[in-house]
Amino acid sequence: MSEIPYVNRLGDELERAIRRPARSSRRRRLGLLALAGALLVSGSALAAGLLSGDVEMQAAAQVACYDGADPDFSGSVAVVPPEAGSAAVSPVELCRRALDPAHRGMPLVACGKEGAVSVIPGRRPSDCAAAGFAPLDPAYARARARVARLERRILAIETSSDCIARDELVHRIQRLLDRTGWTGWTAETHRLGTGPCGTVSGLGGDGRRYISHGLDAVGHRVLVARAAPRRVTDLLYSAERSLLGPLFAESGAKCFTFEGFRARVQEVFASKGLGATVKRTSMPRGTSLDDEDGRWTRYKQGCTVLAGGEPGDDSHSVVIDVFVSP
Amino acid sequence: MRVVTDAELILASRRDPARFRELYDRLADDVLAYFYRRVLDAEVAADLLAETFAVAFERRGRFKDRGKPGAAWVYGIAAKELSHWYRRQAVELRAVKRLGMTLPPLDDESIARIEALVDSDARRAAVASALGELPDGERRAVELRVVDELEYAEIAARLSCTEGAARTRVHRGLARLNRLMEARA
Repeated sequence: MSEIPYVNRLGDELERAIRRPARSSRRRRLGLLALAGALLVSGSALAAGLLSGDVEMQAAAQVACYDGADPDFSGSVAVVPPEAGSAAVSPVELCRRALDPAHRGMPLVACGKEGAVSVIPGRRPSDCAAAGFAPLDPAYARARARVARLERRILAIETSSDCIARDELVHRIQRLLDRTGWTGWTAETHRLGTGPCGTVSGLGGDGRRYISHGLDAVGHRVLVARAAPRRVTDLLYSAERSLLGPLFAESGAKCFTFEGFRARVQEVFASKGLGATVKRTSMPRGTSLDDEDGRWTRYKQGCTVLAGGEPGDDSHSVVIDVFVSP
Repeated sequence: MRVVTDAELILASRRDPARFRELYDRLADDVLAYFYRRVLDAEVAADLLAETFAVAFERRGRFKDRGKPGAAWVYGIAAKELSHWYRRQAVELRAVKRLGMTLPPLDDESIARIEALVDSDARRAAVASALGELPDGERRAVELRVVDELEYAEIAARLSCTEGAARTRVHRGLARLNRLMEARA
Protein backbone atom coordinates (compact mmCIF):
# COMPACT_ATOMS: atom_id res chain seq x y z
CA MET A 1 0.00 0.00 0.00
CA SER A 2 1.17 3.50 -0.79
CA GLU A 3 0.75 6.51 1.45
CA ILE A 4 -0.53 8.37 -1.59
CA PRO A 5 -4.31 7.84 -1.90
CA TYR A 6 -4.22 8.37 -5.67
CA VAL A 7 -1.65 5.60 -6.12
CA ASN A 8 -3.85 3.15 -4.25
CA ARG A 9 -6.98 4.17 -6.15
CA LEU A 10 -5.13 3.89 -9.46
CA GLY A 11 -3.91 0.43 -8.41
CA ASP A 12 -7.49 -0.56 -7.64
CA GLU A 13 -8.64 0.73 -11.01
CA LEU A 14 -5.81 -1.08 -12.80
CA GLU A 15 -6.73 -4.27 -11.00
CA ARG A 16 -10.39 -3.76 -11.83
CA ALA A 17 -9.58 -3.32 -15.50
CA ILE A 18 -7.33 -6.37 -15.49
CA ARG A 19 -9.84 -8.55 -13.70
CA ARG A 20 -13.00 -6.95 -14.99
CA PRO A 21 -14.73 -10.12 -16.08
CA ALA A 22 -14.16 -11.79 -12.72
CA ARG A 23 -14.79 -8.83 -10.43
CA SER A 24 -18.41 -8.12 -10.93
CA SER A 25 -20.01 -7.77 -7.50
CA ARG A 26 -19.47 -4.02 -7.48
CA ARG A 27 -20.59 -3.76 -11.07
CA ARG A 28 -23.67 -5.73 -10.16
CA ARG A 29 -24.51 -3.44 -7.26
CA LEU A 30 -24.00 -0.37 -9.42
CA GLY A 31 -25.87 -1.98 -12.26
CA LEU A 32 -28.80 -2.78 -10.01
CA LEU A 33 -28.79 0.76 -8.66
CA ALA A 34 -28.74 2.15 -12.16
CA LEU A 35 -31.50 -0.17 -13.20
CA ALA A 36 -33.60 0.79 -10.16
CA GLY A 37 -33.07 4.44 -11.00
CA ALA A 38 -34.07 3.88 -14.57
CA LEU A 39 -37.23 2.11 -13.47
CA LEU A 40 -38.11 4.98 -11.13
CA VAL A 41 -37.67 7.43 -13.95
CA SER A 42 -39.58 5.37 -16.45
CA GLY A 43 -41.91 2.65 -15.31
CA SER A 44 -42.31 1.59 -18.89
CA ALA A 45 -38.63 0.87 -19.33
CA LEU A 46 -38.92 -2.89 -19.23
CA ALA A 47 -41.97 -2.83 -21.44
CA ALA A 48 -39.98 -0.77 -23.93
CA GLY A 49 -37.41 -3.53 -24.17
CA LEU A 50 -34.76 -2.73 -21.57
CA LEU A 51 -32.96 -5.82 -20.53
CA SER A 52 -32.05 -6.84 -17.01
CA GLY A 53 -28.89 -5.19 -15.69
CA ASP A 54 -26.60 -8.22 -15.61
CA VAL A 55 -27.45 -9.40 -19.11
CA GLU A 56 -27.10 -5.90 -20.51
CA MET A 57 -23.68 -5.61 -18.89
CA GLN A 58 -22.69 -9.01 -20.22
CA ALA A 59 -23.77 -8.04 -23.73
CA ALA A 60 -21.56 -4.94 -23.70
CA ALA A 61 -18.63 -6.51 -21.84
CA GLN A 62 -15.49 -8.18 -23.06
CA VAL A 63 -15.30 -11.94 -22.76
CA ALA A 64 -12.88 -13.69 -20.41
CA CYS A 65 -11.36 -16.87 -21.83
CA TYR A 66 -9.87 -19.63 -19.68
CA ASP A 67 -7.94 -22.65 -20.87
CA GLY A 68 -8.43 -24.60 -17.66
CA ALA A 69 -4.79 -24.62 -16.62
CA ASP A 70 -5.64 -22.48 -13.62
CA PRO A 71 -8.03 -24.59 -11.49
CA ASP A 72 -9.42 -21.69 -9.43
CA PHE A 73 -9.97 -19.37 -12.43
CA SER A 74 -8.18 -16.53 -10.66
CA GLY A 75 -6.77 -15.12 -13.90
CA SER A 76 -8.11 -15.33 -17.41
CA VAL A 77 -5.87 -16.34 -20.28
CA ALA A 78 -7.32 -13.77 -22.63
CA VAL A 79 -9.87 -10.99 -22.45
CA VAL A 80 -11.51 -10.50 -25.82
CA PRO A 81 -13.81 -7.71 -26.94
CA PRO A 82 -16.84 -8.76 -28.94
CA GLU A 83 -16.73 -7.98 -32.64
CA ALA A 84 -17.89 -4.41 -33.11
CA GLY A 85 -21.45 -4.29 -34.34
CA SER A 86 -21.84 -8.03 -34.61
CA ALA A 87 -23.69 -10.60 -32.57
CA ALA A 88 -22.84 -13.36 -35.00
CA VAL A 89 -19.71 -14.58 -33.28
CA SER A 90 -20.49 -16.33 -30.01
CA PRO A 91 -18.34 -15.92 -26.90
CA VAL A 92 -17.11 -19.51 -27.35
CA GLU A 93 -15.96 -18.78 -30.90
CA LEU A 94 -14.29 -15.52 -29.83
CA CYS A 95 -12.28 -17.43 -27.24
CA ARG A 96 -11.48 -20.29 -29.56
CA ARG A 97 -9.78 -17.75 -31.82
CA ALA A 98 -7.94 -16.13 -28.92
CA LEU A 99 -6.62 -19.18 -27.11
CA ASP A 100 -3.28 -20.78 -27.75
CA PRO A 101 -3.54 -23.08 -30.79
CA ALA A 102 -2.88 -26.08 -28.56
CA HIS A 103 -6.12 -25.39 -26.70
CA ARG A 104 -8.38 -24.44 -29.59
CA GLY A 105 -9.71 -27.93 -30.07
CA MET A 106 -10.94 -28.37 -26.52
CA PRO A 107 -14.67 -28.21 -25.80
CA LEU A 108 -15.66 -24.83 -24.40
CA VAL A 109 -18.80 -23.52 -22.78
CA ALA A 110 -19.94 -19.94 -22.14
CA CYS A 111 -20.92 -19.06 -18.60
CA GLY A 112 -22.27 -15.95 -16.96
CA LYS A 113 -21.65 -14.54 -13.56
CA GLU A 114 -23.35 -11.31 -12.68
CA GLY A 115 -22.14 -8.77 -15.25
CA ALA A 116 -19.44 -10.88 -16.88
CA VAL A 117 -19.20 -13.57 -19.55
CA SER A 118 -16.58 -16.24 -19.08
CA VAL A 119 -15.70 -19.10 -21.39
CA ILE A 120 -14.25 -22.19 -19.73
CA PRO A 121 -13.43 -25.75 -20.74
CA GLY A 122 -16.65 -27.73 -20.65
CA ARG A 123 -19.29 -29.44 -22.71
CA ARG A 124 -22.57 -28.29 -21.26
CA PRO A 125 -24.02 -25.40 -19.24
CA SER A 126 -24.03 -27.53 -16.08
CA ASP A 127 -20.22 -27.47 -16.21
CA CYS A 128 -20.42 -23.77 -15.39
CA ALA A 129 -21.80 -24.38 -11.90
CA ALA A 130 -19.08 -26.90 -11.14
CA ALA A 131 -16.51 -24.20 -11.85
CA GLY A 132 -18.24 -21.57 -9.73
CA PHE A 133 -20.02 -19.79 -12.57
CA ALA A 134 -23.62 -19.81 -13.73
CA PRO A 135 -24.93 -20.92 -17.10
CA LEU A 136 -25.11 -18.05 -19.57
CA ASP A 137 -28.54 -16.44 -19.43
CA PRO A 138 -30.61 -17.43 -22.49
CA ALA A 139 -31.42 -13.72 -22.85
CA TYR A 140 -27.75 -13.03 -23.63
CA ALA A 141 -28.10 -13.55 -27.38
CA ARG A 142 -31.00 -11.10 -27.57
CA ALA A 143 -29.17 -8.57 -25.42
CA ARG A 144 -26.00 -8.89 -27.48
CA ALA A 145 -27.98 -8.41 -30.68
CA ARG A 146 -29.48 -5.20 -29.27
CA VAL A 147 -26.08 -3.88 -28.19
CA ALA A 148 -24.65 -4.84 -31.60
CA ARG A 149 -27.37 -2.79 -33.30
CA LEU A 150 -26.37 0.22 -31.22
CA GLU A 151 -22.71 -0.40 -32.03
CA ARG A 152 -23.47 -0.54 -35.76
CA ARG A 153 -25.35 2.75 -35.59
CA ILE A 154 -22.50 4.43 -33.72
CA LEU A 155 -19.97 3.08 -36.22
CA ALA A 156 -22.16 4.35 -39.05
CA ILE A 157 -22.11 7.85 -37.56
CA GLU A 158 -18.34 7.66 -37.10
CA THR A 159 -17.70 6.53 -40.65
CA SER A 160 -19.95 9.22 -42.12
CA SER A 161 -17.04 11.63 -41.87
CA ASP A 162 -13.29 11.47 -41.55
CA CYS A 163 -13.45 13.69 -38.51
CA ILE A 164 -16.42 14.60 -36.35
CA ALA A 165 -15.56 17.01 -33.55
CA ARG A 166 -15.93 15.37 -30.15
CA ASP A 167 -18.78 17.57 -28.92
CA GLU A 168 -20.66 17.15 -32.17
CA LEU A 169 -20.28 13.38 -31.95
CA VAL A 170 -21.58 13.43 -28.37
CA HIS A 171 -24.61 15.36 -29.57
CA ARG A 172 -25.30 12.98 -32.45
CA ILE A 173 -24.93 9.87 -30.33
CA GLN A 174 -27.23 11.29 -27.66
CA ARG A 175 -29.86 11.85 -30.33
CA LEU A 176 -29.33 8.27 -31.48
CA LEU A 177 -29.76 6.92 -27.94
CA ASP A 178 -32.94 8.94 -27.42
CA ARG A 179 -34.34 7.92 -30.77
CA THR A 180 -33.66 4.21 -30.43
CA GLY A 181 -35.02 3.56 -26.96
CA TRP A 182 -31.82 3.51 -24.90
CA THR A 183 -33.64 5.10 -22.00
CA GLY A 184 -31.36 6.35 -19.24
CA TRP A 185 -28.21 6.17 -21.38
CA THR A 186 -26.19 9.29 -22.02
CA ALA A 187 -23.38 10.18 -24.40
CA GLU A 188 -20.52 11.85 -22.56
CA THR A 189 -17.11 13.22 -23.34
CA HIS A 190 -14.17 11.23 -22.07
CA ARG A 191 -10.92 12.88 -21.09
CA LEU A 192 -8.79 10.30 -22.87
CA GLY A 193 -7.15 10.62 -26.23
CA THR A 194 -5.79 13.51 -28.26
CA GLY A 195 -6.72 15.01 -31.57
CA PRO A 196 -9.35 17.21 -33.15
CA CYS A 197 -11.98 14.49 -33.62
CA GLY A 198 -14.19 12.35 -31.43
CA THR A 199 -14.45 8.58 -31.32
CA VAL A 200 -16.20 5.85 -29.40
CA SER A 201 -14.51 2.99 -31.19
CA GLY A 202 -10.81 2.29 -31.27
CA LEU A 203 -8.36 0.08 -33.09
CA GLY A 204 -7.14 -2.91 -31.14
CA GLY A 205 -3.67 -4.39 -31.30
CA ASP A 206 -4.88 -6.69 -34.06
CA GLY A 207 -5.78 -3.71 -36.23
CA ARG A 208 -9.52 -4.32 -35.94
CA ARG A 209 -11.94 -1.69 -34.75
CA TYR A 210 -13.62 -2.36 -31.41
CA ILE A 211 -16.24 -0.43 -29.56
CA SER A 212 -16.96 -2.28 -26.32
CA HIS A 213 -14.55 -0.15 -24.30
CA GLY A 214 -16.62 2.90 -25.23
CA LEU A 215 -19.81 1.46 -23.77
CA ASP A 216 -20.19 1.71 -20.01
CA ALA A 217 -23.09 -0.60 -19.25
CA VAL A 218 -22.72 0.02 -15.51
CA GLY A 219 -23.05 3.79 -15.76
CA HIS A 220 -25.24 3.57 -18.89
CA ARG A 221 -22.89 5.84 -20.78
CA VAL A 222 -21.40 5.99 -24.26
CA LEU A 223 -17.94 7.51 -23.87
CA VAL A 224 -16.60 9.75 -26.61
CA ALA A 225 -12.84 10.30 -26.50
CA ARG A 226 -10.59 12.55 -28.55
CA ALA A 227 -8.88 11.07 -31.59
CA ALA A 228 -6.98 11.87 -34.74
CA PRO A 229 -8.90 11.81 -38.04
CA ARG A 230 -10.03 8.32 -38.86
CA ARG A 231 -8.03 8.14 -42.08
CA VAL A 232 -4.80 8.85 -40.20
CA THR A 233 -5.40 6.21 -37.53
CA ASP A 234 -6.47 3.70 -40.16
CA LEU A 235 -3.31 4.30 -42.20
CA LEU A 236 -1.28 3.75 -39.06
CA TYR A 237 -2.99 0.87 -37.33
CA SER A 238 -5.87 -0.76 -39.17
CA ALA A 239 -5.58 -4.37 -40.24
CA GLU A 240 -6.52 -3.60 -43.82
CA ARG A 241 -4.82 -0.29 -44.54
CA SER A 242 -1.93 0.06 -42.13
CA LEU A 243 1.24 1.38 -43.70
CA LEU A 244 3.17 0.52 -40.57
CA GLY A 245 2.78 -3.23 -41.00
CA PRO A 246 4.74 -3.47 -44.26
CA LEU A 247 7.31 -0.99 -42.91
CA PHE A 248 7.88 -3.18 -39.84
CA ALA A 249 8.57 -6.09 -42.16
CA GLU A 250 10.72 -4.01 -44.47
CA SER A 251 12.94 -2.78 -41.66
CA GLY A 252 13.47 -6.39 -40.59
CA ALA A 253 14.17 -7.64 -44.09
CA LYS A 254 16.66 -4.99 -45.09
CA CYS A 255 19.38 -3.06 -43.28
CA PHE A 256 18.58 0.65 -43.35
CA THR A 257 20.61 3.62 -42.26
CA PHE A 258 18.62 6.22 -40.33
CA GLU A 259 18.61 8.54 -43.32
CA GLY A 260 17.65 5.75 -45.69
CA PHE A 261 14.77 4.58 -43.57
CA ARG A 262 13.53 8.10 -42.96
CA ALA A 263 13.39 8.66 -46.71
CA ARG A 264 11.54 5.38 -47.18
CA VAL A 265 8.99 6.19 -44.46
CA GLN A 266 8.37 9.65 -45.88
CA GLU A 267 7.95 8.20 -49.35
CA VAL A 268 5.38 5.66 -48.15
CA PHE A 269 3.28 8.16 -46.21
CA ALA A 270 3.60 10.85 -48.87
CA SER A 271 1.97 8.44 -51.31
CA LYS A 272 -1.15 8.74 -49.14
CA GLY A 273 -0.88 12.49 -48.73
CA LEU A 274 0.53 12.43 -45.21
CA GLY A 275 3.68 14.06 -43.93
CA ALA A 276 5.93 11.95 -41.71
CA THR A 277 8.37 13.05 -39.05
CA VAL A 278 10.84 10.31 -38.19
CA LYS A 279 12.26 10.37 -34.66
CA ARG A 280 15.06 8.37 -33.16
CA THR A 281 14.05 6.72 -29.91
CA SER A 282 16.05 4.62 -27.52
CA MET A 283 15.24 1.01 -26.82
CA PRO A 284 13.94 0.70 -23.24
CA ARG A 285 16.54 -0.94 -21.04
CA GLY A 286 16.10 -4.65 -20.49
CA THR A 287 13.88 -5.14 -23.51
CA SER A 288 14.31 -6.61 -26.91
CA LEU A 289 12.21 -6.95 -30.03
CA ASP A 290 10.37 -10.02 -31.14
CA ASP A 291 12.50 -11.36 -33.95
CA GLU A 292 9.70 -12.84 -36.02
CA ASP A 293 10.14 -10.11 -38.59
CA GLY A 294 13.92 -9.96 -38.20
CA ARG A 295 14.02 -6.49 -36.61
CA TRP A 296 15.92 -7.62 -33.52
CA THR A 297 18.62 -9.19 -35.67
CA ARG A 298 18.82 -6.07 -37.81
CA TYR A 299 18.97 -3.84 -34.74
CA LYS A 300 21.86 -5.87 -33.34
CA GLN A 301 23.60 -5.52 -36.71
CA GLY A 302 23.50 -1.75 -36.27
CA CYS A 303 20.57 -1.10 -38.58
CA THR A 304 17.67 1.28 -38.07
CA VAL A 305 14.35 -0.48 -37.40
CA LEU A 306 10.80 0.71 -37.02
CA ALA A 307 9.57 1.08 -33.43
CA GLY A 308 6.06 2.46 -33.94
CA GLY A 309 4.09 5.48 -34.94
CA GLU A 310 1.33 7.84 -33.94
CA PRO A 311 -0.73 10.66 -35.41
CA GLY A 312 0.96 14.04 -35.63
CA ASP A 313 -0.32 17.20 -34.02
CA ASP A 314 -2.17 18.28 -37.13
CA SER A 315 -4.66 16.30 -39.16
CA HIS A 316 -2.38 15.28 -41.98
CA SER A 317 0.87 14.01 -40.57
CA VAL A 318 2.29 11.18 -38.51
CA VAL A 319 5.24 10.80 -36.16
CA ILE A 320 7.24 7.63 -36.67
CA ASP A 321 9.63 6.30 -34.03
CA VAL A 322 12.66 4.24 -35.00
CA PHE A 323 15.23 2.39 -32.98
CA VAL A 324 18.79 3.16 -33.97
CA SER A 325 21.55 0.96 -32.58
CA PRO A 326 23.87 2.94 -30.29
CA MET B 1 11.51 -17.19 2.48
CA ARG B 2 12.74 -16.18 -0.95
CA VAL B 3 11.39 -12.90 -2.23
CA VAL B 4 9.81 -13.05 -5.66
CA THR B 5 11.74 -10.77 -8.01
CA ASP B 6 10.13 -8.10 -10.16
CA ALA B 7 11.03 -10.09 -13.25
CA GLU B 8 9.34 -13.18 -11.84
CA LEU B 9 6.24 -11.14 -11.08
CA ILE B 10 6.08 -9.89 -14.67
CA LEU B 11 6.40 -13.43 -15.95
CA ALA B 12 3.82 -14.74 -13.44
CA SER B 13 1.36 -12.03 -14.49
CA ARG B 14 1.21 -13.55 -17.96
CA ARG B 15 -0.59 -16.55 -16.55
CA ASP B 16 -2.27 -14.76 -13.69
CA PRO B 17 -2.86 -11.09 -14.54
CA ALA B 18 -3.76 -10.37 -10.91
CA ARG B 19 -0.08 -10.73 -10.01
CA PHE B 20 0.54 -7.52 -11.92
CA ARG B 21 -0.98 -5.60 -9.02
CA GLU B 22 1.89 -6.80 -6.81
CA LEU B 23 4.37 -5.38 -9.28
CA TYR B 24 2.44 -2.11 -9.36
CA ASP B 25 2.36 -1.86 -5.57
CA ARG B 26 6.12 -2.37 -5.44
CA LEU B 27 7.07 0.21 -8.02
CA ALA B 28 4.31 2.80 -8.28
CA ASP B 29 5.60 5.31 -5.72
CA ASP B 30 9.10 5.30 -7.16
CA VAL B 31 7.90 5.58 -10.75
CA LEU B 32 5.61 8.44 -9.73
CA ALA B 33 8.53 10.21 -8.06
CA TYR B 34 10.62 9.60 -11.19
CA PHE B 35 7.98 11.38 -13.27
CA TYR B 36 7.34 14.17 -10.80
CA ARG B 37 11.03 15.06 -10.59
CA ARG B 38 11.06 15.51 -14.33
CA VAL B 39 7.75 17.18 -15.14
CA LEU B 40 7.16 19.06 -11.87
CA ASP B 41 3.43 18.67 -12.31
CA ALA B 42 1.55 16.18 -10.13
CA GLU B 43 -1.35 15.81 -12.60
CA VAL B 44 0.97 15.01 -15.49
CA ALA B 45 3.05 12.67 -13.32
CA ALA B 46 -0.10 10.83 -12.23
CA ASP B 47 -1.28 10.39 -15.82
CA LEU B 48 2.17 9.20 -16.91
CA LEU B 49 2.14 6.68 -14.07
CA ALA B 50 -1.21 5.30 -15.22
CA GLU B 51 -0.17 5.03 -18.85
CA THR B 52 3.17 3.44 -17.99
CA PHE B 53 1.61 0.61 -16.01
CA ALA B 54 -1.17 0.13 -18.56
CA VAL B 55 1.48 -0.20 -21.29
CA ALA B 56 3.54 -2.52 -19.10
CA PHE B 57 0.51 -4.72 -18.51
CA GLU B 58 -0.20 -4.91 -22.22
CA ARG B 59 3.41 -5.67 -23.07
CA ARG B 60 4.16 -8.12 -20.27
CA GLY B 61 4.01 -10.93 -22.82
CA ARG B 62 7.00 -9.41 -24.61
CA PHE B 63 9.17 -9.16 -21.51
CA LYS B 64 12.23 -11.34 -21.73
CA ASP B 65 13.99 -12.25 -18.53
CA ARG B 66 17.64 -11.71 -19.38
CA GLY B 67 18.73 -11.53 -15.80
CA LYS B 68 18.24 -7.79 -15.51
CA PRO B 69 15.91 -6.29 -12.90
CA GLY B 70 12.27 -6.26 -13.93
CA ALA B 71 12.03 -2.71 -12.62
CA ALA B 72 14.46 -1.60 -15.32
CA TRP B 73 11.99 -2.80 -17.93
CA VAL B 74 9.22 -0.73 -16.35
CA TYR B 75 11.49 2.31 -16.15
CA GLY B 76 12.32 1.83 -19.81
CA ILE B 77 8.63 2.16 -20.61
CA ALA B 78 8.41 5.14 -18.27
CA ALA B 79 11.29 6.83 -20.09
CA LYS B 80 9.54 6.36 -23.41
CA GLU B 81 6.29 7.80 -22.07
CA LEU B 82 8.26 10.74 -20.71
CA SER B 83 9.88 11.39 -24.06
CA HIS B 84 6.43 11.35 -25.67
CA TRP B 85 5.30 13.93 -23.17
CA TYR B 86 8.30 16.15 -23.82
CA ARG B 87 7.55 15.97 -27.51
CA ARG B 88 3.79 16.43 -27.44
CA GLN B 89 3.16 18.19 -24.13
CA ALA B 90 0.24 15.83 -23.59
CA VAL B 91 -0.10 12.42 -22.03
CA GLU B 92 -1.67 10.08 -24.52
CA LEU B 93 -3.60 7.64 -22.40
CA ARG B 94 -4.03 5.11 -25.16
CA ALA B 95 -3.22 1.99 -23.19
CA VAL B 96 -5.34 3.26 -20.30
CA LYS B 97 -8.21 3.60 -22.72
CA ARG B 98 -7.63 0.21 -24.29
CA LEU B 99 -7.77 -1.38 -20.85
CA GLY B 100 -11.01 0.45 -20.14
CA MET B 101 -9.61 2.20 -17.09
CA THR B 102 -11.22 5.28 -15.60
CA LEU B 103 -8.58 7.40 -13.95
CA PRO B 104 -9.37 8.39 -10.37
CA PRO B 105 -9.36 12.10 -9.51
CA LEU B 106 -6.17 13.51 -8.07
CA ASP B 107 -7.06 14.91 -4.65
CA ASP B 108 -5.20 17.59 -2.69
CA GLU B 109 -3.78 15.11 -0.20
CA SER B 110 -2.31 13.03 -3.00
CA ILE B 111 -0.80 16.10 -4.63
CA ALA B 112 0.80 17.10 -1.33
CA ARG B 113 2.21 13.62 -0.84
CA ILE B 114 3.51 13.42 -4.40
CA GLU B 115 5.33 16.69 -3.88
CA ALA B 116 6.70 15.33 -0.62
CA LEU B 117 8.20 12.35 -2.48
CA VAL B 118 10.84 14.72 -3.67
CA ASP B 119 13.06 16.73 -1.40
CA SER B 120 11.16 19.90 -2.14
CA ASP B 121 13.48 22.59 -0.86
CA ALA B 122 16.61 21.15 -2.40
CA ARG B 123 14.65 20.43 -5.53
CA ARG B 124 13.27 23.94 -5.82
CA ALA B 125 16.74 25.36 -5.43
CA ALA B 126 18.08 23.04 -8.11
CA VAL B 127 15.21 23.86 -10.45
CA ALA B 128 15.61 27.59 -9.89
CA SER B 129 19.28 27.28 -10.66
CA ALA B 130 18.66 25.19 -13.78
CA LEU B 131 15.93 27.56 -14.95
CA GLY B 132 18.46 30.35 -14.83
CA GLU B 133 20.55 28.51 -17.39
CA LEU B 134 17.77 28.33 -19.97
CA PRO B 135 17.68 30.81 -22.83
CA ASP B 136 15.37 33.71 -21.97
CA GLY B 137 12.57 32.74 -24.34
CA GLU B 138 12.45 29.16 -23.16
CA ARG B 139 12.68 30.10 -19.48
CA ARG B 140 9.80 32.55 -19.78
CA ALA B 141 7.69 30.01 -21.68
CA VAL B 142 8.34 27.31 -19.07
CA GLU B 143 7.51 29.67 -16.21
CA LEU B 144 4.25 30.73 -17.85
CA ARG B 145 3.26 27.13 -18.51
CA VAL B 146 4.41 25.38 -15.33
CA VAL B 147 4.29 28.10 -12.68
CA ASP B 148 1.42 30.23 -13.98
CA GLU B 149 -0.39 27.27 -15.59
CA LEU B 150 -1.44 29.31 -18.62
CA GLU B 151 -2.91 27.86 -21.79
CA TYR B 152 -0.64 27.90 -24.82
CA ALA B 153 -2.77 30.53 -26.53
CA GLU B 154 -2.23 32.89 -23.63
CA ILE B 155 1.47 32.10 -23.46
CA ALA B 156 1.69 32.89 -27.15
CA ALA B 157 -0.05 36.21 -26.59
CA ARG B 158 2.29 37.14 -23.78
CA LEU B 159 5.39 36.18 -25.73
CA SER B 160 4.13 37.69 -28.98
CA CYS B 161 4.55 34.47 -30.90
CA THR B 162 2.34 31.82 -32.46
CA GLU B 163 0.77 29.11 -30.33
CA GLY B 164 2.93 26.54 -32.09
CA ALA B 165 6.06 28.51 -31.28
CA ALA B 166 4.94 28.73 -27.65
CA ARG B 167 4.54 24.96 -27.50
CA THR B 168 7.96 24.50 -29.04
CA ARG B 169 9.59 26.83 -26.53
CA VAL B 170 7.95 25.07 -23.60
CA HIS B 171 8.89 21.69 -25.00
CA ARG B 172 12.49 22.64 -25.63
CA GLY B 173 12.75 24.40 -22.30
CA LEU B 174 11.46 21.43 -20.33
CA ALA B 175 13.67 19.03 -22.25
CA ARG B 176 16.71 21.23 -21.61
CA LEU B 177 15.68 21.61 -17.97
CA ASN B 178 15.45 17.86 -17.64
CA ARG B 179 18.92 17.39 -19.07
CA LEU B 180 20.31 19.96 -16.66
CA MET B 181 18.59 18.30 -13.71
CA GLU B 182 19.77 14.86 -14.79
CA ALA B 183 23.31 16.16 -14.97
CA ARG B 184 23.06 17.41 -11.41
CA ALA B 185 21.40 14.30 -9.99
